[in-house]
Amino acid sequence: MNGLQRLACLIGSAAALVLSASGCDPYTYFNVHITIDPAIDNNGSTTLREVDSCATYVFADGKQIEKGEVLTMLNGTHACKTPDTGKDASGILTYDLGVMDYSSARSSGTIKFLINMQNLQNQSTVQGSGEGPVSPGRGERNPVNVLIKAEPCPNTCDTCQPTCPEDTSSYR
Amino acid sequence: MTRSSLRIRTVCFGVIATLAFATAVPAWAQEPSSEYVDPTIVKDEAPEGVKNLGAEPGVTKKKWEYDSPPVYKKWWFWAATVVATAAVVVLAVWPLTGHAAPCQQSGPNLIPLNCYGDGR
Repeated sequence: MNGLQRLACLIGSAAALVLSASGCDPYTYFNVHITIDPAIDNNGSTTLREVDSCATYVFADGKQIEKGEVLTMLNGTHACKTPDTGKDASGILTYDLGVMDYSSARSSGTIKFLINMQNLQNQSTVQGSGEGPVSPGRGERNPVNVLIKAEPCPNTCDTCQPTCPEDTSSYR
Repeated sequence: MTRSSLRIRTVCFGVIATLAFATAVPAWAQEPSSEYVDPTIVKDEAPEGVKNLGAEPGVTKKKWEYDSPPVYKKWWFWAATVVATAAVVVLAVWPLTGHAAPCQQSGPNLIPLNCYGDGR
């Protein structure tokens, strides 16, 4: 094999490598479906009538990796806002907040989503969480279901902030 | 696994893959096989492809030397090195510079919410 043939072989190999790499998506995508436990209105509280906003927090392997994001719809309005919380476009109470899309560049581990519901006094009242595995390269959406529980936040962590992650274990 | 460890893994994969491709010789590029002769074995007659310098007057330091220059003196060696290096750099950097896919929330009676994360 002469020099030109060797060079052609190497260039072809490098091109094949680059082309194969370009088809690999390094991100993992999550579709987080957030719903509310219908029992939330039957536990003696006035949660849904007091709710002012919802905040979402993202954790990777137990560590918070995103600051709290207010849950909003595409037009920028709060997804949780009395008196429309959990209602669809026609005003029917479905207890379905919607679906959030999140992307992660991590290569392994688990991503956990924590949703806090806050009242008009900015106090977190109830919360829910869900998690999914990191699986880059597939380009598909990993479905994650988050059910905001009817139980009030535990007294040991009455604000339900992510700084008390241990208290979220009872909501899994 | 963090972004930096993903980068290290990608670099390692790129180096290994490039070396594998660089050393592999495709079947169509194989030269006709000939019987191998070890040139270091001293015989009365020099093996094929080797010049017997001892037979030439005035040369005493080396008895034999190869007819062709060493591989690092060939132009295609350095050209291939540049190509392989560029390929490794591209493989290491490319996957982490691209943006994430556009937002795509799916589900029945869908209400699209926040769309954010890495690469957005």
